[in-house]
Amino acid sequence: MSSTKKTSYRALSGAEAAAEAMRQINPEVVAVYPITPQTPIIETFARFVANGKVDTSLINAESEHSAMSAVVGASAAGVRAMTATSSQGLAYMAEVCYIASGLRLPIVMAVVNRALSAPLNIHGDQSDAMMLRDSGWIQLFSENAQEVYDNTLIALRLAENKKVLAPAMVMQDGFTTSHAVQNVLTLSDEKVKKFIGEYKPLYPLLDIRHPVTYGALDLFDYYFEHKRQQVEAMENALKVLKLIDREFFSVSGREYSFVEEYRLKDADIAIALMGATAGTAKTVVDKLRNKRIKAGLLKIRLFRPFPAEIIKRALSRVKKLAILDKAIAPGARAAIANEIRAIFAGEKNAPKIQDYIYGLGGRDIGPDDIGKVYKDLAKAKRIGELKKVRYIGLRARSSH
Amino acid sequence: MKLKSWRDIPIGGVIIAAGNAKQFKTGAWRTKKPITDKSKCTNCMRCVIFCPDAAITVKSESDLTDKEKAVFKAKTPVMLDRADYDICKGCGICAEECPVKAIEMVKE
Amino acid sequence: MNNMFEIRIHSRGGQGAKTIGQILAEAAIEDGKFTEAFAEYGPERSGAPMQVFVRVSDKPILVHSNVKNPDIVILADSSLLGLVDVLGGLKSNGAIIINTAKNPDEIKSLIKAKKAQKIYSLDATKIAVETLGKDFSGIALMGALNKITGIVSKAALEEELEEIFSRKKGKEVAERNILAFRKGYESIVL
Repeated sequence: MSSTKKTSYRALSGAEAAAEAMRQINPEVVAVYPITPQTPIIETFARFVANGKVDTSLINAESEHSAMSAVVGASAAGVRAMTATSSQGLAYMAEVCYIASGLRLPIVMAVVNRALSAPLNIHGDQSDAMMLRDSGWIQLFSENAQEVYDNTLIALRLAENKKVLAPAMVMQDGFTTSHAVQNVLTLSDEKVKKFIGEYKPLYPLLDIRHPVTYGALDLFDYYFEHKRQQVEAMENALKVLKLIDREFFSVSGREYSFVEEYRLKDADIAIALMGATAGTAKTVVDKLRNKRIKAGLLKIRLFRPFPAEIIKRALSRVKKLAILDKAIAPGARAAIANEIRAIFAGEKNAPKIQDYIYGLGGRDIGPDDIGKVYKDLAKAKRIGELKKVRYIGLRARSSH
Repeated sequence: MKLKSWRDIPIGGVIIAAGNAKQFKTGAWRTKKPITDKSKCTNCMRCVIFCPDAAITVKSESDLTDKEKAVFKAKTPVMLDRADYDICKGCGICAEECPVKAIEMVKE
Repeated sequence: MNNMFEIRIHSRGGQGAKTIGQILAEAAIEDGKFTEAFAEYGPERSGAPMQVFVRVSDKPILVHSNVKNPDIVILADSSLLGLVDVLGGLKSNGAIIINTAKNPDEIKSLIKAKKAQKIYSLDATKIAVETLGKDFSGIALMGALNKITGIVSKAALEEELEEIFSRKKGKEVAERNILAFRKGYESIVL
């Protein structure tokens, strides 16, 4: 690039960051179907294919169901296979997502989180990811374009680890991250190549000297055992990710853990959430800290497997906690609230917890909104006041 | 068959030992058994082709015993040997398709 | 957040405001700064009012919500006056840059700005038509922005223009874009 350049940062959107990681991974097969806001990932990647920057066979499938099916086929055949989607696309893939995880295929998929229809909405929330939270896929959430890039490379290593062999979704917030140009540091192609290593499939279908059968009928005599194995894979993922994160740090200088504890150590009041809003919340925490208010933030990066022990430890000193879900579960508690509350069930010194729903359909959430959450927490005295779910930025009355 | 624990089986329900269909005996499903009248059989092998379970094995001429040679006078190099009763489900397609009605379905 | 500079661009879909955001972001990074540029999309359609947000800072940018209190508002299409709240949330000492053929006094009567808020205007469309042969007014507006704030360096912006347009449309187009940028720059009197 230019000679006057003062940094090694690159201007990349979240979508471009995902595509750049895919270019460096150079998977044998990518099968996709376009959907907003995922489309710029595959537009960027298709350009890499057209310009000969990758060796990938790019399959333009006729639907997401077919795209995931093609990726499952390719992965079973014994190669690296990737895809990307959003919202309705993920919903349409759902059936095959369970096949990918059930067959233990280490597929990595970029998911640009978007609201689910109806009503029709193209903007970001995390209901699509939450729909598939129990599908046996690893789920990593990213705060910004940098984390999208890093998580994609890390997810590949994690998924392909012999003790894991589970597919992985790398999440980014629709538009907020996918379409925002930010500072991103990338690794050299050589470094990435070395980090991800050569892929050695466990049971490649095309190895005709060792013929195998995928997708055989598996009834009450063995299905249960195979599902138990998936639980084991997820438990192993917790151990393996720790090592991969450490290795990634030595390669990149960027440190990751299952959750990010932001000024949480001595925090009295805290927020727990996932995705881009974590960044916005950090700025609010800093402001409150300047006013000597002991506020903190728990950013969940790894949602599946759910790192319950780590989260329990991180939050054990917090007095009052707000759990912010960017997905709704009508008639029940939302996903993150459910998980964290379960950790503290029956615990004497558990933080008092208030559930919030925010950002549905891309509703903007700014520092003021988050400031109000901390204010609510600081004010609330009795447990009773903390029970009912609250909605950030929802109109209770029509404006005039 | 002894059932294995979740720790002792390949992941993903993948079958890694080729040819293990042999271990799965579908013969128990059968209520009627195909019996071939070898004096009528012309070795046309329609039953071999139509059998949905590949339960009818074929022998080459060189493998025939003298006794079998005496029964089957046809010039074809292969012959209908017998239904493999571990696999045959007794569907009766062979009997239906036999052009000389050499196969009869007999109650087990 | 004191050292963060925030820009909001009001434009119409298809007028290239997103491209301006991209160029500003790339130039800011070229300058060794941190940046975030993004557009607020409705259902994408040409001609519809849209907003582009740009943040530039010396420190990593953590906040990812829409820009509510910009330091500078750029109104890329003056026909949006009255349709969108262009001054909404503008800092009390902020500035607005308007693309218009009207004279500054006329503009001042149309825009109810606070006392300390500065209003700058230029005929970016005219500059664009003269230099580029089409209404791609954003480049001249970027020149004006640069004159007013210098938050991103002139050198980095010109280099970015050169690079992007040379790559996409060839050297001659790049030169004309740089000319449009400079004309925009010169048309602002501080």
